Amino acid sequence: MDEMAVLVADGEMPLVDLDDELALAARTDPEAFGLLYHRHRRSVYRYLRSRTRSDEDAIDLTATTFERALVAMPRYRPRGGGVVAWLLRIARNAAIDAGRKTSVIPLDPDVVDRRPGASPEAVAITNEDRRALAQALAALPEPQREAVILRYAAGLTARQIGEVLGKTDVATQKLLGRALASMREHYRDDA
Amino acid sequence: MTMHDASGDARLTRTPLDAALNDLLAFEPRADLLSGLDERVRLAAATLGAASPAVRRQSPSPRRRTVLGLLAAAVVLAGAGGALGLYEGLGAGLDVGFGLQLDRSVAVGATEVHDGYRVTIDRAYLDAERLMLAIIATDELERPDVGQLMAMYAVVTDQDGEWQGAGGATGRPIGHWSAANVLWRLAPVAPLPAGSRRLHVVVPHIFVRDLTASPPVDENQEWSPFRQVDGPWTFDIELAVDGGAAVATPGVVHTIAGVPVTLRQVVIGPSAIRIEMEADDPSRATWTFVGWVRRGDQGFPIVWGSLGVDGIARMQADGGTNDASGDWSLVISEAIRQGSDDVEERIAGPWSFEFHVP
Repeated sequence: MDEMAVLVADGEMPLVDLDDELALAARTDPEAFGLLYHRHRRSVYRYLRSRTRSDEDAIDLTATTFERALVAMPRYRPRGGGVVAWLLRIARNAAIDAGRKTSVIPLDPDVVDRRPGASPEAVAITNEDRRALAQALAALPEPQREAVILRYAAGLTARQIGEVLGKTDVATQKLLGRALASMREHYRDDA
Repeated sequence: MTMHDASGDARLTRTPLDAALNDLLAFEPRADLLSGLDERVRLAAATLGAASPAVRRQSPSPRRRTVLGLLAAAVVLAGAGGALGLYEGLGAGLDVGFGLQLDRSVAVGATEVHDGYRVTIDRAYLDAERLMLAIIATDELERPDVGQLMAMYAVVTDQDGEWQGAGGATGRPIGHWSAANVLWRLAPVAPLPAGSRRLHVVVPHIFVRDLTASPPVDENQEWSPFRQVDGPWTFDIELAVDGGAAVATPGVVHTIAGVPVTLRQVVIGPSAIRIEMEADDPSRATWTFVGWVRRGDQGFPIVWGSLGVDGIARMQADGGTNDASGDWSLVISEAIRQGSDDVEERIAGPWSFEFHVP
């Protein structure tokens, strides 16, 4: 991929640069596509798992997302949100297309608790707390819930979330702020 | 090259609620499902003509790097009838005014070496609104552990203050130890008056690809093959302002969804057009607009805009003209109104704001 031009958004962050460079290279270089896939498969999976009722459904949609990205890669243009926002937008569309847009976050606290290597925070939070949190999340209006999931499941910044949802940075920050404020009202935030 | 998960360190742990949400949503796929996913993507890539996306942890082999480097050098030499050949096509995807900027750019040749890395402002173009810098970065020591160079960031100041970053930057290797880069900056106060302008340009750092860096075993650990090389490389250059600019204050008003929207000002330069719109919205919603500027059969797309939080939406269209006289129109195809309730209302147009430049 050395001979290809690289594009960056105001020139500073190598990690972002690397993604855009990889995306450009991935048009012709399968190695570059593989690297992009491995860099972002977790974010895509976590987002989709939060919108589906089973691991299998989330895996199926994750595969669909990368299959679509493979086809669409020549049309990718570097933007502020970078490759990850682009992929999450594809993932969101895939979930909507599949009719798997859920109105309730399908969490099973017991399954979550069995994860190996759970953090101390995970141990400290009881199943009851988890249920309360999941319910508070599920009770949010759709745009707020989407923003929270993109933030905490996929690890996106406000700018990237805005690109996925088609909102401005300011609007996204407001959205997140209101969502978290609402959740604090319904969830004990003194753990 | 690496296989690392870009989401790894992005997860937030600032407050108990942050930590709880992080934890609640930290789904991990089962190993058997993950391996099936890898295989499905690999097959898809193979079916579509790409080879396996399986991870290769090694950097390209030295032989491959040499071949690619020589290939790139050959392409550059073959295409470089003049210095412009280094940049042709480079910024075309980012800025439709780039061709004009390149054609009218002047050779600068300001150069400085720091720790064996030479940074040269090779060419530059300045109009009443925007600066384009073409920068060459070279590793004069030809370090075997260094690959791709990037000099895509610069701080530009003048008597009016710091120039704004806009339009990003781009670059491409020229051989193994050198790269051609282009970046853009917007004047803090526009339009600039005719005449010349003294600019202070600082390239605080460049990035180089470290060919010896090994990816971490832990997928969650952040890693990049690029490392920062600090300068600074400092330049003082003087450029003539090309073409002047026409300023129109049309004051044309359309009512959109019950809100008067006024085209306040249009600044037309040789390679860019700046537009200011005001929405007199009593609800203090923010407005943004999608559309283009037209004169006859010429169209200039709006490529970016501010949020309009102060009631003023500022936008820029790429492309422009030296002779702005004539009848123009700003065609807004869609207005986007964002209320305080976060609800985004997309209002389909079009509305045409007609104005005349003498």
